[in-house]
Amino acid sequence: MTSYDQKVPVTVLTGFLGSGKTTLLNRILTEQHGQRIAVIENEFGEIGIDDALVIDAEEEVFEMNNGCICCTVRGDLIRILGTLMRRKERFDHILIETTGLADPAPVAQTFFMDDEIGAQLRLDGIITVVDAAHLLPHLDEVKPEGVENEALEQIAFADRIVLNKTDLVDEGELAEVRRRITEVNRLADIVETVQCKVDLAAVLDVGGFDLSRALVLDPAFLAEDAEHQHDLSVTSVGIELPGDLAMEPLNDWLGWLLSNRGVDIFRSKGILSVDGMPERYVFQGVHMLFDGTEGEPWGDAERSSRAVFIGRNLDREELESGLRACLVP
Amino acid sequence: MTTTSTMEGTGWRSAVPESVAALAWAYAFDVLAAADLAGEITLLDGRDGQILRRGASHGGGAFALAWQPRGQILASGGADGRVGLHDAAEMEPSFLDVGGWVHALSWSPDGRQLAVAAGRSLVLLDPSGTVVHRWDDQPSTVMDVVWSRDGSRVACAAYGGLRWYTAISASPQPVRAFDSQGSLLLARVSPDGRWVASCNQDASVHVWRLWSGDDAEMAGYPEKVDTLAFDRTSRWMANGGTNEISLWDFSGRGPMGRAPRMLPGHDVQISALAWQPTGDLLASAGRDGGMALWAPGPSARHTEPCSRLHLGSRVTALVWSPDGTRVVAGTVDGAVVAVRSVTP
Repeated sequence: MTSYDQKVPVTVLTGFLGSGKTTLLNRILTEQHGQRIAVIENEFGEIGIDDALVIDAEEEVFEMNNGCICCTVRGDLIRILGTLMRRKERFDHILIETTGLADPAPVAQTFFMDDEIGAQLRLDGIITVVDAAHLLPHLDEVKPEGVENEALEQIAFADRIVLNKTDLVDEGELAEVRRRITEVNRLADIVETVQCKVDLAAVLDVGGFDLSRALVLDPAFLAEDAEHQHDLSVTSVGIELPGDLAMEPLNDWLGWLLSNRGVDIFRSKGILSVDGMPERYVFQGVHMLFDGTEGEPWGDAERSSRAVFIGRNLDREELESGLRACLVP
Repeated sequence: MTTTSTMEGTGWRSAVPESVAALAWAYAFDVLAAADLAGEITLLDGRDGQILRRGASHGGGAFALAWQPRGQILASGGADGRVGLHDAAEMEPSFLDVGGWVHALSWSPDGRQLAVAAGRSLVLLDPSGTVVHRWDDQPSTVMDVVWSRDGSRVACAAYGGLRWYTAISASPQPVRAFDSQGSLLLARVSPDGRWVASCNQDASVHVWRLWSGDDAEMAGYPEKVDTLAFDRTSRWMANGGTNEISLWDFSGRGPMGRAPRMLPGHDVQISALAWQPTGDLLASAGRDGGMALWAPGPSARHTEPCSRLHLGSRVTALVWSPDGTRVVAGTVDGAVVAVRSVTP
């Protein structure tokens, strides 16, 4: 078994054509010289770097035959990552560039559903590049019944949003774009840029799926934004509860939630205070795939539970009362 | 007399530049071919591992090899979307663009046609490299190709199952479809032609009877199953999926309703399996480089390997010499190691 630090980090870059995704990719490849980087492209980009290995892929989504309808993986990535992992030549980082139309869930789930990949690679983060001048029409686009709004999904799944082309909008427009992004995804940090000039650590070392990194769930993100709350299909629901949760009802509730609402919950993260546990209980999930472990000890800190759910048609009342019912009376 | 067969230690040790992706032993002469992830095809002398010829063939990695039965042509394929035809009588191989990663190659039993898994296509070539037929637009990438025993039908294995086509007067539509949920990684037809089996990404093995289509799925492995092999008698099928070999008895009415024999002996997931073509030995290897030879026999009591060896890094391919005297393992480090199975 390979330890976390020995696993090769994988960054997923997503975003619409024209958002600046290829610019960011080229910037990473130019500035990370000395590193061996493999790029898996789903979209024909213009990568002008000779020493990177560039592999073209065609998106193939496979359902896993395990009775879980949201457990999909990317067959093309399994094949390509499989050969990359077996090479004698080692890579320092792997970048996966997906099209603006790709569903991020199967990409992320590939790292948790295929044990061979999960043993050698780690998904560091999903980075969504957004064009500040053109995001809102994409978010507001009304799709026919049953068709996903990919712009919404890509923001919902992101660990970090690179808000690009900020020079093309005025302050008011920028504030509105930020507000709309936060409304969908309260967990992702937003990095504002022009021409994707970002500090690369902000996109290559994110630890978005790493439970050992201290989750910082800012209470300000958890509060319900009453003023702007309107009928949104994809939103974040943040919950904060003081006191301790009882382990058994908590397990039951999480189990129920994932099996009954997992299809609609894109991502979840939480730091929970569990009765009898001196450490924080930290978890993260992608749809029904769930990973939880002991975190830092509480020590003298005030014990409370914080959780964020990002997804479609989320029922805040149901989530909050469900978690509240797990409190030790 | 399986007890007289012992692993006599390493016969020889050689190396290729990159991780070994495929190995194939020629039928007509004692030559082994190795394909590696740097894209090179290396020919080695089967007697001592001396490198006879080496050449870059498939940019991005070579994945598949197949020697023509009763012939002298070696077919190769890889990430460059080309098939290489290396005729032992000529110096330079010829290459043909087929489009898409070539994951698998399989000659028809008479050696007159080569089936190629090329991206989402199944392509039939003749030995000169002329396209006989193409079945494009498969529902997903073709991972393996298999022939019926008589060579009249060829199938591609992909996500969703096996699709069979007639090879003579090629049918545009599949003549049979064996559906399977999930993604097939590898398929094999039993030597007696009565069964086809696949191992799958969704941690299962699926078998179908030819041609009734009666099938059974063996699910519940902890991980994807990526190796499977029938023995020469077609009685036994071995597969991985865990650190134990599952051995299914196909005698009589087949494996349906029977529990497999389990052969524990590896510390980690099995990564390669190969039966001796002349006898009853089974070679196995794990992701940690552990290798074992087994003589399972019909009795359930023989569950210990008859010999073991450790190669130090993950074994990706195992192949026997056609005379059954040597088994060769290829590793991710590019090592090619021959092990003698019987005292010469």
